[in-house]
Order: sequence, then C-alpha cells, then structure tokens
Amino acid sequence: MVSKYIGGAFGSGIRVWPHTVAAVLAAKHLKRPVKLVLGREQMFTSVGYRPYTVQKLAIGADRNGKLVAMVHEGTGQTSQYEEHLERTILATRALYACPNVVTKYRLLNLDVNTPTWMRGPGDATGMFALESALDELSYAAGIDPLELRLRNYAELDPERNLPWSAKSLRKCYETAADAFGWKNRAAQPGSMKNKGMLTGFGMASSLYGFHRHPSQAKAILNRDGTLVVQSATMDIGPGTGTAMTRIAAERLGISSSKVRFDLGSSDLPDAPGQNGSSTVPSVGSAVYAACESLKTKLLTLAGQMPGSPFQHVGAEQVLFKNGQMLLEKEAGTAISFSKILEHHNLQQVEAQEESRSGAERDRYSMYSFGCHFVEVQVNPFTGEVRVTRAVTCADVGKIINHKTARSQAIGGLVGGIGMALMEASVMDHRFGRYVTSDLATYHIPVHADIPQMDVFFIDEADQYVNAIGAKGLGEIAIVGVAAAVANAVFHATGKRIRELPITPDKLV
Amino acid sequence: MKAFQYLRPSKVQDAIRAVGSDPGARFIAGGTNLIDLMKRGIVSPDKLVDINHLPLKKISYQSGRLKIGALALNSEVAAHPAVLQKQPLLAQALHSGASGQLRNMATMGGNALQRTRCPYFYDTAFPCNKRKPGSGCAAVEGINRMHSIFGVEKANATQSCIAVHPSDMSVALAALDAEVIIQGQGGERRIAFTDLHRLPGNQPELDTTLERNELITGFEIPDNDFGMHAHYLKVRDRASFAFAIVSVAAALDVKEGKINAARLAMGGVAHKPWRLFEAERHLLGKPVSEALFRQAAALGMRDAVSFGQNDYKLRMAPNAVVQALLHAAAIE
Amino acid sequence: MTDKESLDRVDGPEKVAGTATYSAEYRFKNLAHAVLVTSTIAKGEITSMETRKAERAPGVLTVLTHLNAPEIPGNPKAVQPAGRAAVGTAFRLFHDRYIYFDGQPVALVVAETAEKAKYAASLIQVTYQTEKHATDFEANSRHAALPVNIQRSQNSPFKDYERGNPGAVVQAEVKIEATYTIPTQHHQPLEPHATIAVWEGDDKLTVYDKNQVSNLHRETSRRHLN
Repeated sequence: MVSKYIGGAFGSGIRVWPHTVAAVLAAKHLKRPVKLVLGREQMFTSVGYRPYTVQKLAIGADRNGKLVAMVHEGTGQTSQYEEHLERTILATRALYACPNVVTKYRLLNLDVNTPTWMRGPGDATGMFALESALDELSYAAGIDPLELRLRNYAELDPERNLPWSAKSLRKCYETAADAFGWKNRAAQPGSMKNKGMLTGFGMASSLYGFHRHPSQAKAILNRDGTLVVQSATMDIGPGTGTAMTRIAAERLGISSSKVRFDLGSSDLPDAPGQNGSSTVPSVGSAVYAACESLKTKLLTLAGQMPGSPFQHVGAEQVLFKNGQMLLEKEAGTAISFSKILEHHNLQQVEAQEESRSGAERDRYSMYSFGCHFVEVQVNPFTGEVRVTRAVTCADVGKIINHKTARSQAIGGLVGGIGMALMEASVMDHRFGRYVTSDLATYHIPVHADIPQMDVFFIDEADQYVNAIGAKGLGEIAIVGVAAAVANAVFHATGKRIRELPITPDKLV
Repeated sequence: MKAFQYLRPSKVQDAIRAVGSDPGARFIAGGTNLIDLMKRGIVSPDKLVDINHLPLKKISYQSGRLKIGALALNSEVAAHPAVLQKQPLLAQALHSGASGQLRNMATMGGNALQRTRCPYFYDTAFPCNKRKPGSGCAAVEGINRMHSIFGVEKANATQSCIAVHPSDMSVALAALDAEVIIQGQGGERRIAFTDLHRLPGNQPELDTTLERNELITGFEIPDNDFGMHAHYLKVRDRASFAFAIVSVAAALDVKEGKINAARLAMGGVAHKPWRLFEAERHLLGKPVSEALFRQAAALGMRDAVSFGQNDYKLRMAPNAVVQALLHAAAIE
Repeated sequence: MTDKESLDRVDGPEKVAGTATYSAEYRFKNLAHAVLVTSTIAKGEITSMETRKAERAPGVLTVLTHLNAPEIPGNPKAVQPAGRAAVGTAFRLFHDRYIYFDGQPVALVVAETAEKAKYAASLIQVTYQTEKHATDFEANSRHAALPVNIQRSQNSPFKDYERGNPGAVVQAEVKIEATYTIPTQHHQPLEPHATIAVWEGDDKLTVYDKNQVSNLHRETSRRHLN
C-alpha cells in the first residue's frame, strides 16, 4: 500500500471504503492495473461524513456563575448496517469543574451510508453545543463569557478525579484574550457597530483527548553522514515528514538537511493511521526511540575503536553534535559518525524500535487544551457574516516545528469557520438523495472568507505523555471554533443561532 | 462522457452552419459551464464547434456605444479602461462573479448563456422540467433556498421551473439597457438584453429566445449619465466564488439632488435578470432619500412569491435594493 | 520556538513544483480505468440490471455487479444468510440485491480509458423495487436508541454517565436549556479519493490509495484477496 502524498483527507481516509475494494477486485479479475477515481458527486456517499447530530443541553449555575449541573444528551445519525460512535458528549464531563453531570449518547439508524470521523470528530460537534450553551449561560448570569469559564476552571480532571498531565488553559485564555483585545468588548449584544456593520466578539474553549498508539520506526545512518528514518505513517497535510525530520535531526545532532524521512508505504515499519492527533505523540516517540537506540549502537562501535575515549562511557556523558559524538568534559574527543562507520567498514548502522504508552495513562489525565477568540461583522440588511479576526492559543505540549504547527492551527480555524458559516450537506428527503453534490453547492471557505489569524502556543513539554513532550494538534485546532463564531454572531446581533451553518437567511 | 466530434472553424458563418446542420452540435467557447454539463450527463453533444478562433474578442468604444465582442473574456472586460470609464457597473458585476481562474476562461457570450445552477437540474436522478420536460419541478416542494421569487406563478410552478439565472454580468447588462447582437444563417438581428432570457412558463427547457443555429456575436451598451452612481450589490453565502442569493444592480442619474434616471435589476430571484421597472419609474423626478428607496423597493417586491425555504428572500431582497441604491447615490 | 527557527516543509518543493505523485498519478502500461455506478434510491432491492449495452460499448473490459462479481473473501459473513444485513455488518460490496443508501455502488465498469468507462456506465440501467426510506433525522428522531455496541460493551465511554445528583439542574439559580443541531458535513479534500490497484502476480498486489492508515489498508486488501 503506497500513499506518499495526500491532498487532504480530514478523516475521510481512515477506513477502507468500497471503491478501493472495487479497484482491487477488478485488478484481480482482469490481472491488470486498474485505476478508480471518485467523482466529486460520489465523494458525498463513498467516504463518510460528519453525522447530523442533535444535542440537548441543560446547564445550571449559581448566581456567581459557578456551575451546579450539566445535562448533555447527544444523538447522531448512522447507517442501518453500522454504528458509528463519536465523542460528542465526552468533553462535557472533563472540561469544567461541575459536581453534577449527566451525559447520554444515542444513535439514529437511517437509510444513509455510514458516517466517519471528520476533523475533531465528536468533539467539534459536542463543543459547538457545550460552548454555545456556556455562552448562553454567561448572558443569563450577566457574567463575561471568559470570566465564566475561569470561575469554573477544572484544576483536576473532574471525570476521573486525576491530576492533569499538564494543563495551561488559563495561560491560553490570558494570551489569546490579550492579543485579541477581549477587554474592549461591550457587554451588551448588538452594541458594537462599525460603518453600518454589527461587530461581535465571541470565544470558546477547546480540548481534545491525548492519543498515543504503538508505533515503530527505523533509523538508518549511512557512512556519508546522512540519516534515513522510516515509518509506515502518513501525511495528509500537517507535515509529518517535516516534524519527524526535526525530531531525528535533534536527537542525532545532525543537520535536518541530512535527514530523509520515508512514510506512506505499508512496507515500512508499522505505524498507526494518521488520526486523533496521534501521529507526533506516537510516531514521533518511535522516531525518538529509534534514534536513541542508534546512538547507543554508535557509542558501542566508537568504544570498540583502538584508544577510544568512548570505552566504558555512559550515554549520558556523550554529546551528539554536528554529525559527531564527543565527551562534554574532554576536549579533542570528537569523532564523526562517518569515521566510526569507516573504521568498522560498515556502509550503515540501523536501529528499529517500537514505542507505546505505559502506566502513566492511569496516573494522569491527558488532554490538549486551547481557546479561540473571534470577531465577526454582520451586515444587518443582508445577514451576511464575515469573520474579521481570529486568535487562537493552544496548549499541546512541546511544539516540534512552529511553522507547520501554525499552519495546522490556521487550517483548524478555517475548517471551523466553514463548519460555522457554510458547510452543510443537504438532502432532499423525498428522494433520500443529496442535492449538494459539488463544490458549488457544498461551500467551504475561500481566501476572501479568511481574515488575519494569530496563533499562539504555550510550547511547554508535557513531561508525562511521552519522551518528546508533545500532545498533538490537528484535531483540537477545529474544536470549539464553530461555537466561538456562533457566540460572536450572538454578540453582534442578539440572535442565537443553534443550528449550523449560520447562513444569511437565518439572520436577515 | 459520450465521444464527440470536434471542429474549430475560423469564420462566423462556418460555425453557424456547422451547428445549424447538426441537431447534436453545440457551440463551445470557454467551456466553463458546458464541460460540467457534459460530465454530469446533462447534455451529450455529438459535435462541439469550438468558436474560440472566431474574430469576436474586440472591446471598443465608438459613437456613444461600448461594443464588446462575445468572445471577450470576463476578466479582460472587467479590466478594460473603456468599460471602467463608461460602464463601471458592468466591471463590478463581472468582478463579483465566479473566481479569477474562471473569469480568465469564461467569455461574455458564454456567461450570458450559462445554465441555471439549480441542483435538481444538475443531477439526472431527480425530476426537472428544464432538463426533462414534463418530469416536474422538484424544487417547488423541495430544497428551494436559492430559488425564484419572481416570474413564476405559484399555482403552475410544478409544471414550470423555479430555478434562477445565475449570471451577475447579465444583471448589469439588463440594467444598462444593453443590446445583444445575434448572427443567424439569415443574417444579423439585435434585441434588448432584457429580451434575451425568458421566463419559464410552459417551456422551462428554453432559457433564452435564441434559435438553435444563432450565435451571439457581441453586446453594445449605449452611453448613460450614471457615471459612478452605479453599484452592484451581491449577497452570497461566502465572500467570493459563490452564486448570488440575491443581487442588485442599481444606477442613478442624480441632478441637483433629484433623480433624473434610474435603473434597477436583480439577480438570483428569477429565471432571467429581473428589471424593477415600476420601482425605477417611482424614483423619477424625486429627491434622493432612504425613505424613497424603501418605497421603490417595496414596489419592486409587489409580485414576489416564495416557496418555503426561500421565504427569507422576501425580506432580504428589498433590503438589498435599498442598500444598492444608497451605495449608488453615495449616501452612507 | 518561532517560525524563524522552524524547518520548512520537507516536501514543499515537490508539492509546489508539481512533482509530488498523488495516488491517481502513478503511470502504468496497460492501465485500465474503472467507474462506479451508484444507486439512485435510498432503500429497496435491485430487481434487474441491464448491462449488455455497457459491456458492448467501445473499450469496455468488464462490468461487475452483484450478479457476476466473485464473492469477496473480506466481506463480513452474513449473520442471516439471506435478507438485509443486520446492524454491525460492514458494507458488503456487490454482495446482494439490497440497497442501503442512495449512492451505494451497484456496478463497476472497467474500460481502456476513463471516458469510455464513464460513458459505458451511463448505459447501465438498474431497475429497483423501492421501499419507504427514512433519511430525515428530525422526522425519525423518536427512533433514536442506545447503540447496540454500547449496550454490549462492559466499559464503553459512551454509556449513560452520571456524577453527583442528576436532578440538580432543576434547582439551579441560573438555568439555560437549548437544543443545538449540526447538519451532515463532508470532508471534501481537494484531492478526490483514488485508488490504483496493480496486480503483480498471485502473491503480490500493490495498491496506490489515498488514505490515512497504510497498514489497515494493507491488511484489508489482503483479506479481500484472500
């Protein structure tokens, strides 16, 4: 199985869908190579979707805004032949300190194809409801929406009653609110105006569970000093190869230009699928382990060289830097990796490792956290909503590569704006058939819909999740965005839209 | 896609003859709509007559008329100095249509002749009177959020068609009293742009009044005194690259605070670009004011109907008319 | 870390220069092109399939349907030998006459070119006996139920959950209660899903496929080939 480059997937590639089976069947039948490309209209019924979901929320608080109870019931649609489950109601148990919580999850079997995971599966859905409801509560209680969240900050995981492995959500709120200028918000909905447009500020929290799966990676150091790292992981767009190159280069102390990372083929060492924000935590950990193992081998080989200063030296005393290893406390000990391989007449040295999580999962509750702040302008005459600013801050542990991480955060915001304002697959139920069957009728944001976006990361290693301290970012980037937009629309107009997407017809 | 023959004539009469002599033949210019229709099996021509090599690309201004060849590209026209100077409303409308890539391919003639974007028309599994006469209009009791509020009788709608003409350019040309130059086998004829598209009536399969073997060769727009008092307002589901929910082309000639001439046309509301003649007349001779614009908008809405999901257009459309007029009059 | 200290995307140059090879872009001699024909009803049974015109169309290599496709080893075994699949049965391609959703694959046309395959696909006529379908969430919401999967599971996180006093919300000083709806939304990546399956002999198949899980796809293909 080869899949070296992927032009986006967002969850649509997590299962093996019938069209792939059909192509394989035809190739077997004809004994010829067979190509099958889905038409855009077939993309609506062939590769899953985010399921239609209805959620009821009841939230009670005391007059100071301290949460008393939350009841969250979510029902999603699925097919008649499979039950697709997603995390819709789970965040409600963990996000806020609240003593009394009830959640219920139901499915409705319909004559439709089976849904699947779509970016932020379940959580993006559930947090639209929860964070809209918190916003409604803030107006009912007369408390600033951000202040309401701070008053209910969960210092421990209220569901499992465990400490968080790390949580800097408070710092996320402060960072994003400052950058956004949240303090300039007028409390009264509909009271901020700009050249005839209604301005609205909205915010929402986000969280996403930490996922780490068993992963393997192999690191091969060549005599010319180049490193090849391999794992059967994928890159649907976040820049997997870039992050892994960075981890390997840092571990081995070589320039990233000397590293090649191979992915996207099932012939490579086993890796989990690219989903659930698990790639960097899982595969990154395996790359880390394989590189560490390779360093141990190199040290042993160096130690076997005549007169080597590396004999009987512990790995912790050795520095790996600029393609060389050296003893920190002894000058003149540096020896290049190439020399070591040359001496032993080796073309390459390799190490393969498997990495998986351990007992830390039982001692700590592990989540990524974050928040989004959004400004919208609503045209009071036409009902058109434009997002004019967005600021996001995420606490996802250590950032492996800022530039690609930032792109991922921006991508999540863009997806969230689409979810909030335009994306809807519409079916004519008399026929049971979608009328949205192309990109002219299924709208996703275009450049003109996307404003200045500022992305911040706390960038602190989570010391309990794995050796690299990274928690994964892809999913949380979209979680909560739709609520932040809907909350901003309410602030601008005084109209609470509880049914996405927020199209002009609902506001005019 | 069905196999087809492909011709590339260099003379207008050759192209017209090639289509006239073969009922399965179609003209193709930019192809930005026809290729989609062929891929979805909506039309399956036996022969494509590529007209891109015909000498119909010229844009010029002569003796009080802006002349635009049918094959001039949307992007060229929108940026042409004569258009920007004489008919800025047309440039605005062109710029608000489609995307940069499409405007670089789409021609003026093709833009006017694009088919509706009604989803029922684009999917052969649904009934659609426009695609398959007599099969019914699925939109009347279906998904009709984007559909017509003008030019269709409610009682007769399921036998007719409530799809809308999708072009922005057409709305501006309708407002600007443009003329269409049409070449047939027998010679040339000219019609008002407002007579190019038709209402669906009992023949919703016909979008226009063109005969099968006729070819639009150009458009002419006579001078007017609107100057910069013209505005194209487009309401849409996203900021760009989306068809109008409702659009308004408004042009005013204001002299000493009084309206000397007015043009109002709407898009996204009918089977053709919809001129608001009565509203235009109401504005004549009166001083510019928001209240006046509201009256005009209300007059313009008198015959509007709606079909459920597009009820909101009855609120949105008059608001859009008022806003477009305010912009055109430069009153904020 | 900042953007400045970051590594540029390692595959950026290939992607920007157009030299990155996506799943549908691998070239092979003798490559055949397949097009799926999908159902136009949401529920019912196929009563007949007229495929002769398609089979005779220029360049067509084969037409596969539930009537002539070999049973796929990887299809889940039927819980009931006949009749509709029970909940929990992954979709079985070309397995039987039943239609479970609109857009369900009912035939595969393979031809020498994609255009020929697509044209031939348009010649296939499927006759259905339709049954009343339920696709409208709002109209059917009363049938929502606790999923069987959850009922059977010992420790599913999706089981009904309570902490504290479940009735506490009623007495709260400030209360809100609301219903939120999100519609069906589709991923719609720019690159459509595509597969090239290359038969390389009885014990080797290479599949170039747009997906996110290489090993699952390897194992599934193996199962489907037996």
